[in-house]
Amino acid sequence: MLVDLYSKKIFNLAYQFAGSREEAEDLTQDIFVKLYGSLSKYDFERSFTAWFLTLARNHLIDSYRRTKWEKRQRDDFEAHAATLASSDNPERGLVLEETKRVLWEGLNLLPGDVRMAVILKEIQGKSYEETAEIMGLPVGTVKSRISRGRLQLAKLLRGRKESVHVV
Amino acid sequence: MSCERFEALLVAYADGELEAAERTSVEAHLRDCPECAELLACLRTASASLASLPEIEPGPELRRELLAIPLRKRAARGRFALVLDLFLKPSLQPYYAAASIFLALVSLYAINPDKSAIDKAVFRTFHRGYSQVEKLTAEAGSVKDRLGDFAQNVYASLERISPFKRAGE
Repeated sequence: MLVDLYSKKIFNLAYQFAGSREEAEDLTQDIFVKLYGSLSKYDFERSFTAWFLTLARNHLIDSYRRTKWEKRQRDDFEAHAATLASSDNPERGLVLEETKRVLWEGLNLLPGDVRMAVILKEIQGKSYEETAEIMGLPVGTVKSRISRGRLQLAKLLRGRKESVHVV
Repeated sequence: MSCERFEALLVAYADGELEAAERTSVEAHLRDCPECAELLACLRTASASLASLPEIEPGPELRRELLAIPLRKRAARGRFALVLDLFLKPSLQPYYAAASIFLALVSLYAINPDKSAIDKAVFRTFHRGYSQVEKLTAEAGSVKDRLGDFAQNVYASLERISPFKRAGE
């Protein structure tokens, strides 16, 4: 069943992109409504997952352009990390959690297309080719967007480390 | 090589995608530039941390809403289809055609600047038709009278030549 197979995947994509659980729930519903309206247009030559993720990506980017989520705050990372397994080393666990918090908030600083490419490749573990197919862009363009996004996040992390060292 | 130029190669270096010559020059720069070395470390940390962000479970309420979407769509389509079927009944189509023609004529009349001429023409046509009907009714009346007379003559003739009557007399 479509809901069992894809709801978690789509919800997480929407959540990682929008940063808000409430927003992600609304977006997931919108995406499934769109899916049921577009099933007749599905091209059987394509992978269904890639086709559905493209539909989801288009909806998320369109909504992002309409509402400009970057101006809104993401959910607190503590709430997001509630499901994290506790680390054996508490100090290291805290550093890891702080790193994830910085990155989680840093996603909001990335432009929509860059953010989506980084989420698909770095968080969801897609290959460059799969990401390019979902984004509907050449692999080279996707690679350069992901590089830009990763560098921006790495600089954010470096800046945060430097400020901690100064303090 | 400047740090800015180097940064453009850093991601490919971290992913092990650089050619030998570029890799060597990046490594030489990294030995001399602690900032870029730190950036490389942060790139690796960021990749590892992003990859380990946990997936979260959608709530049961969302699942219920998602499962209800096709049912809601079907119900909405059902109501719509019922109304559509009612309006598209083949037996109603002649009425729709007549109503369309009537509305077209009314519209033509309403937008015509010379309405009085149309009124006169309609009035004249109506009267002509009415007088024709009157004439036809009068003719029909006289035909009926003549038929009555003819029938009476036939009866009278038949009575005169009837063998039964003669036999009876």
